[in-house]
Amino acid sequence: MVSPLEQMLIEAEARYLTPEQLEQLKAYVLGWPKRLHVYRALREGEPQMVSRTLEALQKEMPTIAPQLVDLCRRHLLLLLRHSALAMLLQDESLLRERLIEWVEEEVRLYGLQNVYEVAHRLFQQELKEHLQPGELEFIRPWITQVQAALLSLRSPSILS
Amino acid sequence: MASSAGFDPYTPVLANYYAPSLYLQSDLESGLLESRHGDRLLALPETLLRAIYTGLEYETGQAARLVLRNCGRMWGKEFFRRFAQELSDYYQKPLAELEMGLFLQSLKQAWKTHGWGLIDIDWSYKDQGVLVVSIRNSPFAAATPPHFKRPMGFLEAGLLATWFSQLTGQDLACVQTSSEALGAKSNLFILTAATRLKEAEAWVDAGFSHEQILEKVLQSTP
Repeated sequence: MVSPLEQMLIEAEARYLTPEQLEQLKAYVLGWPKRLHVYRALREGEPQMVSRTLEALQKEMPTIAPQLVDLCRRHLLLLLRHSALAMLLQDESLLRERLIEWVEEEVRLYGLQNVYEVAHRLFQQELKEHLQPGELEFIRPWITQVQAALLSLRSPSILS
Repeated sequence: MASSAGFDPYTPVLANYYAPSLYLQSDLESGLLESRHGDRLLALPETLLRAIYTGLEYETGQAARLVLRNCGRMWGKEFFRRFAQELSDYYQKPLAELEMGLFLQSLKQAWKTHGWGLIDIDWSYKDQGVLVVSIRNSPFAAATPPHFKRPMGFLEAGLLATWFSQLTGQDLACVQTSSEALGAKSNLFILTAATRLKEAEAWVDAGFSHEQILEKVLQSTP
């Protein structure tokens, strides 16, 4: 699987990039410093955002099993890390293959939909508090996309 | 995993070992395919698969089934060894200590990434010592020549039998009871102790459905 940028360069074999493609490339390059800045902000904020989300989750769902909290923690880290990279490289395919396919299977297996509705709402809240509005808009569409994919799952757990 | 260790931004959170873009590595110049573990991989063209079915039938007749099953067994043994080693290296613990969910998910992903289809395991009959495995989009069913009027996935049946025998430490056998090649929605395989499946291939030959065969197997004594 190649990124949209690589695909564009493959298509431009032995010819100049079209004006539209040049615009795309320009937008990609011009957006880079800002995306890099947001990427770093996410990396620095990760421990706080994730642990605060988990604390709030345990407060809202006091009976939640410690294993599920740990699973949630791993998933939030995966969500944040993959979304950050997808945002930085503007490559949606990273999310599907490395993140959604894996996590959705675990969500189904352990019947985590209810936990996730709460966890994702809390995590969005944390993001909002941790990032400046100008930073938030860079990462939010990616994270929301993953969360929407995971929350649309509705099948019974086989391990419960 | 200690919670503080999980927050080190340079320590990976272990997840999908078999993600295709990570697992499959190719070198265009040498034409070699390798797994991320460094093991060689082989791409089988459809033509070759078809030729194996028809060539074996031409050369050996009925014995083709046995040959395919034995090839599947050897393949299963090797695949299990590789799978166990890859996962225990990746997660840094022996296969037996992996969580069940993680283990099953890795199996499904491995199956998919190797291009063998979508595998699902039905545990409903586990208390009776029976597993039902379903595989959709199987390349082996897709390559079955149309003149075969019974399920021909002996390669997969052999693979599954050995794989689950190694996993459980018991002598399991496997019979395919429905096939996509014959218009079924998925390829269904029944796995249980070898002694309980002695007549199963004859039942398939006699045209019994998956449900009928499953019923017969469940009625047999474990």
